[in-house]
Amino acid sequence: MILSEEQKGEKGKKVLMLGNEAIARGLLENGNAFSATYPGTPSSEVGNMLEREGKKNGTYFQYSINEKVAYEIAYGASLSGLRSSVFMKHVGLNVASDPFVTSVYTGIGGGMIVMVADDPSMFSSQNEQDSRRYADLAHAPMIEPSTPQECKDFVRYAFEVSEKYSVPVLYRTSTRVSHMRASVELGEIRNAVRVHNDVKEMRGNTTSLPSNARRLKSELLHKMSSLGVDQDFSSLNRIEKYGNTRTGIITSGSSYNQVVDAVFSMGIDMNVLKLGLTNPIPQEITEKFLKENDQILVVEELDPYLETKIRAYRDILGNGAVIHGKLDRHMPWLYEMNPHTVRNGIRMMLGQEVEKISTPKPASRPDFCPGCPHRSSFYTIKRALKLAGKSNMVLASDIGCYSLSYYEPYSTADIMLDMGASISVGSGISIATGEKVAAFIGDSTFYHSGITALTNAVRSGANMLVFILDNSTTAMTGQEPTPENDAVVNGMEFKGISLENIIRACGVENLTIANSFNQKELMKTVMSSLKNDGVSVIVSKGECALIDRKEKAAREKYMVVTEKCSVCRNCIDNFHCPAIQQDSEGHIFIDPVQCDGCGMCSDIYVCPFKAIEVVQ
Amino acid sequence: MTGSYRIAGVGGQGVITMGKAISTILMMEKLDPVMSEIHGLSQRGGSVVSDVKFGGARSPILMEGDAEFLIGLKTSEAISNMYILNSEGICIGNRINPGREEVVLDLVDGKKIYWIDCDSIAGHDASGSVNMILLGFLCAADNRMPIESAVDFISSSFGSSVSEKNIKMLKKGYEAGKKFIPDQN
Repeated sequence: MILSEEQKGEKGKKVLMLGNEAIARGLLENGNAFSATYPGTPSSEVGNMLEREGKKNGTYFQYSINEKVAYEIAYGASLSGLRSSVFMKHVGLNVASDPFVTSVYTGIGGGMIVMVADDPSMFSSQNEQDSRRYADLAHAPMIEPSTPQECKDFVRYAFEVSEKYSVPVLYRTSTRVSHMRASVELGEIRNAVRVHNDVKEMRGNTTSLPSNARRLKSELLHKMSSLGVDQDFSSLNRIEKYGNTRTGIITSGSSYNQVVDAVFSMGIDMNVLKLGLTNPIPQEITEKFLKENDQILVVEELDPYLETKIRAYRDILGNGAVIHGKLDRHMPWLYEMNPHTVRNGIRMMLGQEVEKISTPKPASRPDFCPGCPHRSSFYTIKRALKLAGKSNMVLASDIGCYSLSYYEPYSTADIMLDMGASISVGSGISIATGEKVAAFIGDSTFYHSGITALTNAVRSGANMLVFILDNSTTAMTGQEPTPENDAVVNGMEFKGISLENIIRACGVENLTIANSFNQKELMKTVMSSLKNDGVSVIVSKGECALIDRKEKAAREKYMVVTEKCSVCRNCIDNFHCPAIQQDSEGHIFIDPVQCDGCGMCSDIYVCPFKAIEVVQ
Repeated sequence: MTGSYRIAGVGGQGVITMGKAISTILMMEKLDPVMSEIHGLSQRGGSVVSDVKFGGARSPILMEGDAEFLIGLKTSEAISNMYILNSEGICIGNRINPGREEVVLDLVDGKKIYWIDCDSIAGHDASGSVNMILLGFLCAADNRMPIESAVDFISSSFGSSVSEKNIKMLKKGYEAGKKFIPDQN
């Protein structure tokens, strides 16, 4: 591929970029050739940008069915000599951990980057795990950028480490790095790289039989010791000296930004060791820092990952600074760092009084968008369960927008654990209690991890009603496609894979397809399916309100005819569409800007007084 | 020179667009901004907050009493984020004002709160353009934000018909600000 003059001209230009976009840019500037992902906040924008701009350097990009498959596909491409990358959120790495851990043993071909984004404070996640533990667990090198500029620039080192040592490299960010925007100086885009690598010649490594794995484990440990003293990558780490002192801070990632701001705001002297390579800990610079300081505070988010390593290091060294951090309660274990927590940690190390920390104000809770098919589905399903006398049924939900049904007034989620778990946890409860259980799972989540769970539920004789809420997209992360959509990927046309055929192939006999926006039909379907034994599936189909938003916004809007309205408030209290509101005089009205014209509120099941009509 | 802004609203109001606008304008002024934004779950009608700092700040996170400017795209979000302002902070918030006055100034403990009736300023329902009207008002209230740069940002970020509408709203907000706030040079 020949780069255009315009692309060459981008070099040196400064652009306001999101951390994730800067990672994607870094991949394009460093000859990345192959990328796969399953979207997950806060990692999604890397894939979103490569989908748009991958062609700039000839990168092949795909949204895979789940993180494990994305990982294995990218690994296959790497074995074939392509510089490859895969992106996921922290819990996505749990799904991909199986191939990840062993691929570190087998080695790779073209450089391979595994980008994982943690979510301290859980802005949009079900847990706050520290994925750096995976680098330790797998003996994989790990690189952590702090700023959008580093997000881009460190990609180069990640590919180089990966190729020099023949291991995948974990590229770890957190929400505040991935979703931080700042000025980034662009470099030149570089054509996709293919190195020579013959899988056949590697078969003694890539076949992870115990006889091979024993040798590979020993080689891997050797690689990691060598990387710990490798000076080729020393520019990933640096010591910054503010004034003259023998007090220091060791930090990495987003915490580094908090540390520098805290030191400036306090106007104190401080030495800061900023680590970009956090597995293995670079030996020489760390030793130097331990010797040059009397006291060191380790500032990091989530677990005492660096602190434990630094303490062990000091122990082996036999002398050096006294270490403080989470283990001696100088720093909190919970949530992301902020300037207050960092200043307090520094104060505690210096023997000063700590300041009182205010708790952040609670944010408004999210809700289904106006026009969301899930609102209509859950409103109807809740009514059906009540009518059938089944309001006590256990309702297992899953990962996606529909988990918001946990909140009032829907209250139709009792369980939400991980991708696909609605069906498997639900079937476990059904087998254990002998009771019928309902499960709710989205289309993308079903393709990701629901197929195996459904097959297993059928084979276990579970008594379940499974709702597949099919909104034709992966909505929450940014409307990425699902395998059900017809698609053109890298110039190849694909027909959507039929959800119905897959469900039937899982062994399900009672399958009904219903329209989320037809409450009467959905109601009848639910009432009749509740009578079935075994596993029944209802696919509730209704397109996400965010797809073709402009066309939907152009639809006819609805209004409340005040004369007909009894102010029973059913539309507000039970249907709960944000567009429907009550004014200070008590009249119910529909905000024409928020209304997306789905018309569900005008249905007799929502407004028995027929007071909601199309705006004339 | 340093500075800090919090933009608060709910999903779909253009909070992040406004953060990008402020950051881009600051970049044009060579003021080296950093910006935070929260995506994902909170997009779905929940609170959305974006913080912007400039002048050497490494982290964009703002804490209680840190911000010079709070821009509240929704009245309730402006009120619930008021704690972020420093002792001389300025809030520019969207509200339906009594008597439909275009701008009402409240003084609370040294803080200035400009309540902007965006519907009155637009002359019609302004729900889709609250961010542009408030950005215009901010340009009038903050001399580090030239209105010309805001126009440049809009022209380079949107298609021509949307740009035209946005610039019109930006200018209405700016004029309301210039009329109401004494010239500060």
